[in-house]
Amino acid sequence: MMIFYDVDRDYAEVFFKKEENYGEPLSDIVTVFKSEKTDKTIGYGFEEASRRLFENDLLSSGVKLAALLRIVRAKKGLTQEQAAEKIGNITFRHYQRLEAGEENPTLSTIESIMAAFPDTDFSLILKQPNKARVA
Amino acid sequence: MSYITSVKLKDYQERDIELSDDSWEHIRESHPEITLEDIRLVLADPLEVRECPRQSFVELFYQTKAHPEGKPRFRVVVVKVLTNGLFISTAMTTVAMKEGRTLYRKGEVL
Repeated sequence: MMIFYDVDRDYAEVFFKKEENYGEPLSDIVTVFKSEKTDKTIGYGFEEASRRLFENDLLSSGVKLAALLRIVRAKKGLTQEQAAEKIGNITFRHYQRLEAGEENPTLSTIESIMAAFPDTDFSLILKQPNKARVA
Repeated sequence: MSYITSVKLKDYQERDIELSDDSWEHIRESHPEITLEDIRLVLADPLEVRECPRQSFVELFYQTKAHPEGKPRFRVVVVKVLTNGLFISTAMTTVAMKEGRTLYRKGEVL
């Protein structure tokens, strides 16, 4: 999985596959990216990402957590290494895997992440439309 | 794989526009159909430039892209106009131009 976040625009893209693709508007906020070969969905783009990415059923909670980590890290201007250090009890590689959505965190890892970023509402990843935005 | 640290490109108004390593890496990974040459050409000779409807500091540079079955396709380069310069956010293929104030249209005086 690939997550891109532009902090100036509060714009994020989440891709599940590397393939030639094209974007189609799903709404004025969400773009769906489809494979040029198969027309199957391989990614999404979100304007106002720190809120809108979490207000839909398009992404799983695991993907939302990965995106949330990416957004929070960008807003705080941290490298992945610095984010891992701030969380404390995880390695750089472990953090990379979490942000890439390659690993499900344990409860103790989630607790450490929440403690490292106390101003972030991690319940966003479980919430449905019209909830709070990332601090 | 080809990595760049940051390149400066010129748009149709001869403005400097920076493409950072991060943005280029994202474009290579998520929009592999877009080349650096495509980006250079869209900026230098766009069909149309529109202001992003949601964010007035963002300009969308469009150029048509041929499709083997004749489906509508555009290349779009998304440029942020910030106080410290102009920067490419991303570039992609899209089926239509977004609504928004037209800043430039090729061959027309607006």
